[in-house]
Amino acid sequence: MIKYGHIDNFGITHDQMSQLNFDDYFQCYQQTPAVEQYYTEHNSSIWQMFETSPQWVHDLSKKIPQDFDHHVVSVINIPPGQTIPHHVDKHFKLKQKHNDDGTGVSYRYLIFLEDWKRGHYYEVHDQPFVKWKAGDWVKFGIDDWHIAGNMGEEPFYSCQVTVLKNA
Amino acid sequence: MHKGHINIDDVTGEMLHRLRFKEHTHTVYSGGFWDRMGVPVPDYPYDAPWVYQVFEDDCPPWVKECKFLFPWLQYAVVTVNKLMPGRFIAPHTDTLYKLTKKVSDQGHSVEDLVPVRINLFLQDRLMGHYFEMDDQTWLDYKKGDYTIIGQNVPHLVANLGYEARFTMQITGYTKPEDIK
Repeated sequence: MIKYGHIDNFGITHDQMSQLNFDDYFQCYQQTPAVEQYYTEHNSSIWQMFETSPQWVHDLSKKIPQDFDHHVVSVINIPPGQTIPHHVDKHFKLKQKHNDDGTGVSYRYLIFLEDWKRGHYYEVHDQPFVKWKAGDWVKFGIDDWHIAGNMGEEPFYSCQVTVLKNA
Repeated sequence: MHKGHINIDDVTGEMLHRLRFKEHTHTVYSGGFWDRMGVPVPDYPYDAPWVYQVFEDDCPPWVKECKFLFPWLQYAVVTVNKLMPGRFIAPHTDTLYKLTKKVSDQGHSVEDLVPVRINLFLQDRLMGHYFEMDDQTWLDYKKGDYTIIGQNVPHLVANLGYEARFTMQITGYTKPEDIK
């Protein structure tokens, strides 16, 4: 089930985004033949950081609904012209750290860190989501196919809080 | 955003896929849009901002005949765009070069007329297909829906899905009060 919400008094600034020191630039998952055909390292690569994210990123996990027992965080920067093509998340870091036995249910909170800008795009289950405000979030599950892309001229920043509710 | 609809039920997917596109256009410079905005050209990956196009005389009859679905448009020229998955046309404003050249070459008077571009969607919207104009999106369009793109209005399109995205641009002059 897809859920939408908003963090009040969000307070994250563009300067905080600009100061992020991303250390990992990689090509996105290729989970379907069509993605393999059309999406390459040249048009589907992104910046991401996980545990090395600054404290304000970790603190965002306290501002979403507390419906979980464990979590991990990350920040993504989709540069102009790049797409995260149709995919489902694997929640790999979460499972690696908190879910060795495979029990429980995991979800992802995608938090938009800035107001929507021209050319920034997100879609889950064929439902487009645009014109968001900083602090808006989308909660979706491990089976929910989604897309994000940046056809604009400014970076597209988002935070992922991936959560586990024990069985 | 202006929204209209015409019946193009006789345009099939096979007709779209049989179109022969004569040009493959790289759009990173957006026809000088970035220069006019006074901002650097974005660092788009080279492979991404490409569109296949076929213009006016190279279009098959069924494409040219679509101009007659908009009888309020004068001196119209037509283009079909094919955007492959993972490709986009970066933010830009239209220069309407082919229209102004045609009117100039043929010596038409366009006093009291305004240039407009009709963007006609040739398919129902598919996953990852994107249209944005003047910071407004249209993401539930159906085949035959169209909008009007004004001459200085920034817009962009993208295909973040799996299937080719086809649109037709019909560009001409009209009286503002005749736009439907």
